Amino acid sequence: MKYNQKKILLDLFESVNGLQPYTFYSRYKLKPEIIVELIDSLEDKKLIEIKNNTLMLSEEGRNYVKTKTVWKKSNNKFENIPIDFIQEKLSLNSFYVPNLSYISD
Amino acid sequence: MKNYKRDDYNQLVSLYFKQRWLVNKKDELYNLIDISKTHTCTELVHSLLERFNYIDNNYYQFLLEEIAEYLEDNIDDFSKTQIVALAYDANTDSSQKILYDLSNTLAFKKIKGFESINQFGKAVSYYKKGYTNLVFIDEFIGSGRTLKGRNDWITKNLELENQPHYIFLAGLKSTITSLNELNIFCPLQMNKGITEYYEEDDLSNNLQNMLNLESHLCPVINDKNLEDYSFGYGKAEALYSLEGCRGNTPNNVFPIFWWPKDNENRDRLKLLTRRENGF
Repeated sequence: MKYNQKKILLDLFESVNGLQPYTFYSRYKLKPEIIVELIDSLEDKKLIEIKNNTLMLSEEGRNYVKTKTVWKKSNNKFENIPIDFIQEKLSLNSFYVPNLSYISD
Repeated sequence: MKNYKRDDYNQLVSLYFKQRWLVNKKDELYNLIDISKTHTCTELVHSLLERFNYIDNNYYQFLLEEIAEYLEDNIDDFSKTQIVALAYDANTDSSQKILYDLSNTLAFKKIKGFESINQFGKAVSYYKKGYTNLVFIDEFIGSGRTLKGRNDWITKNLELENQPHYIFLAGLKSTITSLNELNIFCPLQMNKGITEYYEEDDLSNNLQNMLNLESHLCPVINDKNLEDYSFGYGKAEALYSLEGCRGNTPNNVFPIFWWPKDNENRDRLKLLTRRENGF
C-alpha cells in the first residue's frame, strides 16, 4: 500500500465523523487529481466510503487499520486505558443493567 | 504550486468524480478554468462539464446494443435490409465507425444477412437489388439539417415501400422531437447545454458568459469562421464526445472545448480534439 493511502486511512481512523477531501490538501498538499485517484483505489479495496463529500472508513477499513498498525504506548497515562475497562461499546439509548455484585454496599 | 481555496478544491474533486476522464486532462482543464475566471464564469464551465457526455468503451457498447435491440424489434427480414452510413463522399466519416462497430455487435447477436454500406448514395443501387428495408446510421444529430437533406434526396430518388429508419448514437432531444414524422431512433438524447438548461436571468447571463469565453478563441482559422461554430455548429450547444473510444468530437459541441487556436493565433491547450479538414 502506498504511503499516501496509509496516511488517509490513519487520519480517517483517528477522525470521529470522517474528513473532507480538502482536509488532505490542507495537511499534505494533495492535489485534486491525486486525492481522487487515492480515493478510487481505497474504494476499490472497499476500505473507505464517501458520502456527501465526506470520507469515512468502512468496517473493513477500520479492521485493516487495527491489524496493520503498530500502536505505540503513549507516555500520557490517561491515553492508555487499562484492559479491564475495555469492553463492547453500548449503543445510544440501549438498556443497561448493572451487575449488582460489583456495586459495593 | 497552485493554492486552492476550500470551495474551489471541493468543486474540482466533485467534478473529477463525475467526469473521471478529466483527471488525465488536468492541464487543459486548469487552462479552461483560468480563462473562465477572467470572466467570472467558472460556474458555467463547471456546470457544462458536469453534464458532459464523454462516452467510454463500456457505455459505447451499451448504446450499440440498444441500437441492435431496436433493429431486432423493428426489422422483420434482415436479408432484405441494408444498413447505410450517412457519409456523403469518400472522406472518412464517423457514421462509418458506428456502422462498422454496430455490424460487429449484430454479429455477436447472430443477426446476419443484411448489407452494410459505407456511403449514403450507394443505397439506391442496393435498394434496386432488393434491399428495400433501409436503415441509415450516423453518430450525432444536431440541428437536423443533414438528416433533412438526406431524407429529401432519398425520397426523391426512390419510390419507397417503407419509411426508412434513421439511427443516431446520440443527439439533441428537441431536434428529434421536431422531426417526429421520421422514424428516428437515438438511445442517447440530450438537451442543449445552455438554452435548454437555464431560465430567465441565468439564461441571459450564461449566454453572455459563453460569448465572453469564445472571445478567447481565434475568430478565423484558414477559411473556418468561429462565428459559424459559435455555441456549436447549428447552435446545437452539444455536450458530447466519442473521444473516450477513439472517436471524433462533433462540431456541434461548444467550440470552447475543441477550437484549436486562441485569439493570438497560438495553439490552445484544449480539452477535446476535433479532427476536421481545414483546421
